[in-house]
Amino acid sequence: MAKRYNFLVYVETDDKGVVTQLSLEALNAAKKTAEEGGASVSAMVIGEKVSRAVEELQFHNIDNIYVKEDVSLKYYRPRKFLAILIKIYRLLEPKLTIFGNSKNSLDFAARAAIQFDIALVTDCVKIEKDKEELLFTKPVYSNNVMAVYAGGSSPCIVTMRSKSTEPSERSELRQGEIIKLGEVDEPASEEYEILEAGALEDGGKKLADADIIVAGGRGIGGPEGFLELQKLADLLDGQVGSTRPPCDLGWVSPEVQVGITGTIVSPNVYFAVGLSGSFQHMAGMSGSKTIIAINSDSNANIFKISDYGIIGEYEPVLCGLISGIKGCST
Amino acid sequence: MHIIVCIKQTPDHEGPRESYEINHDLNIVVPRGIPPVLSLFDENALEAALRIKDQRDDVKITIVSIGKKISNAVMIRALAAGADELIKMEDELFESHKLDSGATAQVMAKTVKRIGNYDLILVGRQASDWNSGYMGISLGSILNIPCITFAQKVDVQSDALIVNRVVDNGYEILTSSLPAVVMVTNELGELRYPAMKARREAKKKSIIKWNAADINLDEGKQLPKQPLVLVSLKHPSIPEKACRYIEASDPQTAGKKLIQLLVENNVLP
Ligand SMILES: Cc1cc2nc3c(=O)[nH]c(=O)nc-3n(C[C@H](O)[C@H](O)[C@H](O)COP(=O)(O)OP(=O)(O)OC[C@H]3O[C@@H](n4cnc5c(N)ncnc54)[C@H](O)[C@@H]3O)c2cc1C
Ligand SMILES: Nc1ncnc2c1ncn2[C@@H]1O[C@H](COP(=O)(O)O)[C@@H](O)[C@H]1O
Repeated sequence: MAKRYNFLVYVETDDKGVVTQLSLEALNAAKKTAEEGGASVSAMVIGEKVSRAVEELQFHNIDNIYVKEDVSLKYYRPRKFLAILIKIYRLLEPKLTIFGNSKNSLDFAARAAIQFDIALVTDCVKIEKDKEELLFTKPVYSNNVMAVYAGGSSPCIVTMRSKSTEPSERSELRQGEIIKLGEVDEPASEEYEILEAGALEDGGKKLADADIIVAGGRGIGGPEGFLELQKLADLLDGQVGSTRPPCDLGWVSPEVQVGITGTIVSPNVYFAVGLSGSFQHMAGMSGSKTIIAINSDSNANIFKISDYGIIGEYEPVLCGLISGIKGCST
Repeated sequence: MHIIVCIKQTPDHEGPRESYEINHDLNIVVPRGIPPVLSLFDENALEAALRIKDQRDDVKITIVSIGKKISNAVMIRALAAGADELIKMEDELFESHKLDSGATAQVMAKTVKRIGNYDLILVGRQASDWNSGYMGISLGSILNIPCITFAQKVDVQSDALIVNRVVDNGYEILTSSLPAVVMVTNELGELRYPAMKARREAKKKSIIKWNAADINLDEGKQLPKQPLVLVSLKHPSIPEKACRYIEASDPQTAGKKLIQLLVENNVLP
């Protein structure tokens, strides 16, 4: 390849300053594509306290690590963050900029694509190199169709769907040049002001890390049913998950939604109770090692990707599961 | 106060996989045997507008839908739920695969300018067909007004906008001036269900038809080129598994049997 291209990855950190799993995945996607085409990979970290993340990134075989640390950068602010990206962009002229598909990253990526007037592929699951061109695969039509886009000769921005690649692996070697960004042209004002910000119970993260998930769907019928699922989850030391409808109907808290617009999970065991198996949901859990479906409809889609199944009303089955674990006879 | 809600008409997202036929020659998706519906998250955007209307007496809600052909039968659901009027922006040019989200934002911006006065524009998190999720940000940028994404609650207090925004593992409460664009996510809640009477009355509401020429967009000359080239479309392969069904005299026993089996097979400790 004649020209050496630069790739840039936006790295997010959690509230403890640790690089998020999604960012490690985005990093790996960049590294894998770079290997094919001999590109350099750089990362950028923006935040209030980023030293821990920067140190971690030095063990990931990255060429340059751009850093902007400031107390005013605790929360994502569109104009401030974009001003920083503009500065890096001028220095690096990246052919490809990769974000994770988190909410803030999606916001950031869209504003960047508009600013630089370049193509954006959101919710991308695969990046490939075809001769001189980059190809991006993205699920469309509610996960029923995969679209492959070509970026052409101009630069592109993508946001990577969670769990679409393995996370980048830590190496022994410490390397990578740390480039501290000095003054950045401050935007005159923000589009909006933050009045309050807070953390939730970490529902999504707990779910993403869970070993066992007991998920319910519309067939659970109400909040009471979810309390029963919670009992099973507690006995198994697992977490409760849900499809979209129970979240929207207020039966469970929205953080426990599994699927393309919720959390993408791949636990060891996934109980799918009273849910039909829509593609938007299955795309969020089909990576689970063992899937167990309980549904009154023998034709429900979910059985097609399940290892074990019980056809029937969930209430008595759940009762049986719970008493089966407790080991008492009823 | 005038609220514009952008609603796309899309093929039913709950259709079975076979209904999303791919025409490889034209490189397009052809929905078969599934009805068009309101794009999923746009229902949440409309619900957000209706909740503001519940709070104040001066609210008018206008729906704008851009497409090759917009069905009254689909949009009536939105009017019946409580929107006041519908603007159908129909043109050959506006077929869903010809218009990416950036281009849609250009058309929407021109439409909004033609409408003239507005205080708030609500859009959905992402359209259910192409799943892009950046039309709202593009629109805000073209109109040069603030855009707030992933709103789970939208309030208007005197002349300011207050939005509760979902972020990963948290929330933010934000304020901005009006007019603004707000992208609404499903956490806000489902669109209310209209009563029969409201459905009948909705048929009398105003439906305005515009086309590209009405907003000075002719022959697509001013439509921006789509920066990405769609190379191919294919159905994803999901590996199917051979499900082992547990049968028993009654469902409760089936449940117990399943636990035994899971323990025997080392799935559960
Ligand atoms: C762009 C987009 C993004 C989306 N993102 C997501 C997402 O992230 N996650 C998600 O889940 N959905 C998502 N959806 C929604 C998705 O299309 C489906 O609407 C949803 O997953 C259906 O949920 P469900 O299976 O619980 O409900 P249903 O499809 O209504 O299924 C209910 C099931 O329960 C069974 N049942 C009923 N009663 C009982 C009983 N007593 N005992 C046992 N079984 C019973 C029925 O047989 C049926 O199979 C998205 C949609 C779009 C368009
Ligand atoms: N053709 C359209 N007509 C009306 N609104 C649209 C159209 N396309 C997109 N939108 C709005 O923009 C949102 C985001 O769309 P997108 O960025 O294309 O995924 C949708 O949820 C709609 O509210």
